[in-house]
Amino acid sequence: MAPTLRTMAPFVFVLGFWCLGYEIGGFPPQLLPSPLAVLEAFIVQLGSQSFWIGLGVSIGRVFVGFMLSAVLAVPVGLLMTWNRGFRDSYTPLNNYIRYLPVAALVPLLILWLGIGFANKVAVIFIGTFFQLTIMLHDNFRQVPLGYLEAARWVGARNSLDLIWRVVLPYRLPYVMDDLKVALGWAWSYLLVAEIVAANSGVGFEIIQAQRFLQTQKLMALILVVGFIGVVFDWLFDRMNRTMFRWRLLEDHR
Amino acid sequence: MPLITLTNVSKSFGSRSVLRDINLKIETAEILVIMGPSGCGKTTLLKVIAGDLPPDQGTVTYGSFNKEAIGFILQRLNVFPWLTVRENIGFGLKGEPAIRARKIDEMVMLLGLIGSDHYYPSQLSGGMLQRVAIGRTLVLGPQIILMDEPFTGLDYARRRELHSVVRKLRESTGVSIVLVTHDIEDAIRLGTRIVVLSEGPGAIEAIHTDIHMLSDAEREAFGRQLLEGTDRKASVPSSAS
Repeated sequence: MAPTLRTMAPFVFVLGFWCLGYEIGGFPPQLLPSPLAVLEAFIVQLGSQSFWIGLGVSIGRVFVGFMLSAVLAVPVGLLMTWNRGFRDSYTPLNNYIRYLPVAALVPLLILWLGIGFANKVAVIFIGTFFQLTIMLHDNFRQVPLGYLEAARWVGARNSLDLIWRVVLPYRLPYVMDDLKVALGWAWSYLLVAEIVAANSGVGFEIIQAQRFLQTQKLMALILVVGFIGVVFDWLFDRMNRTMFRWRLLEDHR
Repeated sequence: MPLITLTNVSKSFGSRSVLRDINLKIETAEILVIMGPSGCGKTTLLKVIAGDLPPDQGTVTYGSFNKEAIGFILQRLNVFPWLTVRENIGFGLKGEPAIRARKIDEMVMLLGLIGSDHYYPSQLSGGMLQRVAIGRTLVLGPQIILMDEPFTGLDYARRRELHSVVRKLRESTGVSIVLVTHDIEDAIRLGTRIVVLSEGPGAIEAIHTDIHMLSDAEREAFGRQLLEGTDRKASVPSSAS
């Protein structure tokens, strides 16, 4: 079976199940629209300016929130790995926040930051940063001591040198894996924040569609969110494959 | 003047004594092989020689050379998987790119890695990885190379091949090599001098000199003696001294 066919088959299966449910279930279209109606709504959305603006706004929020989180989590993850004092004092706080459901913080963040851009970025940041630090710390710990020792014998002078020349280049492809997972969460948290309170964005469009009982539009938007996730995943994998050929060779050894 | 002199060196880890009263000189352009049973402190001795572990008693003095001119090839080779052969060899090199590239070229040639120099470690055999590890150290122009069981896990043919690489290295560069091994074959084929350590805590049980002056037959006989001698105190045939 060709890989494309293999990857498409489950989608076709789910679609078939949906068609079947629609045909024999007899649900009202406000609860379960037909796939065709959703497709129609999707095409309408493609032609609507507010959809594209909403999409752009959401992607912009994810981008800023996620980048901020990633850029700060890498040095914190490194510090957690190589500075025992920092690790011991910082980790409990990090874990406490990590266990707080971000959704519970949304009302507070609305009070503090309003319902605009800053609020969404903060939700994404809190939702991903404290998870990422733990994942990256675990990731950086995987560097075999032997690599560090060998590097020291062939000229790596200090910890900064080791981090820059050994730890980061060796772990970067795996850091990308962590980032890929965290990006999925970033999307989820953004949608939660936009659904709770916003005046733009995909989440806002979704909640509007629900208020007006435009279920086909609502479902079309949900499918778009999923599709964007798949595209991001694909982009990450693609980047990983082209930037880190050595890892591909290592994996296929 | 010896490159490195160890005088009455002892080393313990906690209550466990590892090295006992070692006196040893490392001379220019020799291949000194350190042998002994497992756990006799061979690796510890190598680390003491490298200046990586301070002795508890005794002294380690270095002759008139920069301590940075010591290269260490660890037991696990630790060739970096994210770098190609060339990049691995050039890891420690500084200076102008053109000069660095030339030095890497020379090393690739010397170690017989031509044609594989753009490969990643995962594409190489065990013997080639060994060469990369040697090249990465050698390219920095060390005066002494310390090798900890560098041929472990290699088949007979690869081992013999690398023996000749190491011998060639000493002849062409005049570098001193201190090699730890538990393999008698490595010792008699490579060593100009063999130091045998006793069961731990390691003390020097015997030093055999001028091994490289032996004929092949004498060397075989000496190797058998070393292997059979339960006291590992075999003596070098008189013709060698």
